[in-house]
Amino acid sequence: MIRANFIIALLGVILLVIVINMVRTRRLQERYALLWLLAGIGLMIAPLFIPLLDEIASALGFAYTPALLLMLAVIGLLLLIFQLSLSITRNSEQVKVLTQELGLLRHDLEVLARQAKANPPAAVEPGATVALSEEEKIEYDAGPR
Amino acid sequence: MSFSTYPRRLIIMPAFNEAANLPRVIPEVQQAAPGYDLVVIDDGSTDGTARIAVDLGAEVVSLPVNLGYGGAVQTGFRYAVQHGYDLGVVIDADGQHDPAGIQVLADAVTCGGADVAIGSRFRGQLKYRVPWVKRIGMAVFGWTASRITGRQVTDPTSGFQALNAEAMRFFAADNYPVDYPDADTLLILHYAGFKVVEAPMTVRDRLSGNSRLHGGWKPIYYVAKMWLAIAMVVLRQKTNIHPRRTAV
Repeated sequence: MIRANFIIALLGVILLVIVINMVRTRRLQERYALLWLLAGIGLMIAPLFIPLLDEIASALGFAYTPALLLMLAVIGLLLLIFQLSLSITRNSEQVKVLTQELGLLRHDLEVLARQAKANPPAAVEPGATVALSEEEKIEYDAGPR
Repeated sequence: MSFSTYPRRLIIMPAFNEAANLPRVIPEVQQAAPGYDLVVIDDGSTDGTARIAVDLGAEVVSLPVNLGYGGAVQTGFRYAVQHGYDLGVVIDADGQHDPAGIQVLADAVTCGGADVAIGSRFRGQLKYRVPWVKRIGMAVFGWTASRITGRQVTDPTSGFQALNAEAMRFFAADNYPVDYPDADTLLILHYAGFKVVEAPMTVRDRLSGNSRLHGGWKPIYYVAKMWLAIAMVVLRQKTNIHPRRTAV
């Protein structure tokens, strides 16, 4: 029993260390790390609650105590996966919009390139004065932004 | 043919690896619909679809990755909105849609007062075999859409459509599925107050390549997803989560 407690707590500590290190090196974002950190802390302190577990299980009507543990574990995993599904939905929507915009912009760019090729802008001699349009004057007078 | 009320018209052709079909389909479409601009949305093809379409005189928008049919068509709507088109006609690049239908659909919008006209293969001529799974799906979801909209829907999956500028703005903003528009999309249009009509069209066997919805688990996934999508559209309407009507 003591050895089992030790192994569980050790797993929790290892999980915490891995997650914290992942966040430290920016391979895992904080918002996705929170639930994993909770899981690590849960594992770490789980041995403290093992004496309580039998009481809780019988109070909730579980005939077999480990079934309660398994259920809690499954609920925790479901929460994690659900959070991932939410972020996948958001990501795929963003990827879709970005892909469409990229395609449309690339097309606009090709059209502009075609037009520029058809009527190239007149070359400006070095030192020549160039008349600014009204809009450009206003922008120029406003100074650097 | 009068272009006076809808002077700027666009044909939107989503294409994913259709290099084999385009050399026949594009000239056919251009011939059937003079005065229309043509934009091919190359949905991340790997077979040179974009280059062939450019050579055939189409404007081409190339998506860097494959989005799926709905994502490509929606790109076409965004293109139409950005360039100020009054009317858009969506037609498949595989040659299944007889381009003669372009005028019929366009007339239903320009003269018939519809916002969206949908080509129905069950009102026109059917020159190819519809797989039985697809047939049942279309019948069931068409019936459901008919019941809810109070108008007969015989072909909810048809991709041959004409839309006016307002309907294209509606779909350019949001409200369009990235995979396949279906009965749920018709319901969204209905609830948003758009007038949708069906017009007869002829559907032929595709020239080359494979169609969607064949084999394995796909039909089962399709049916389940459609029920969920339809239920969600109805639920959103009941709980006043209304779709956006303005472009982003």
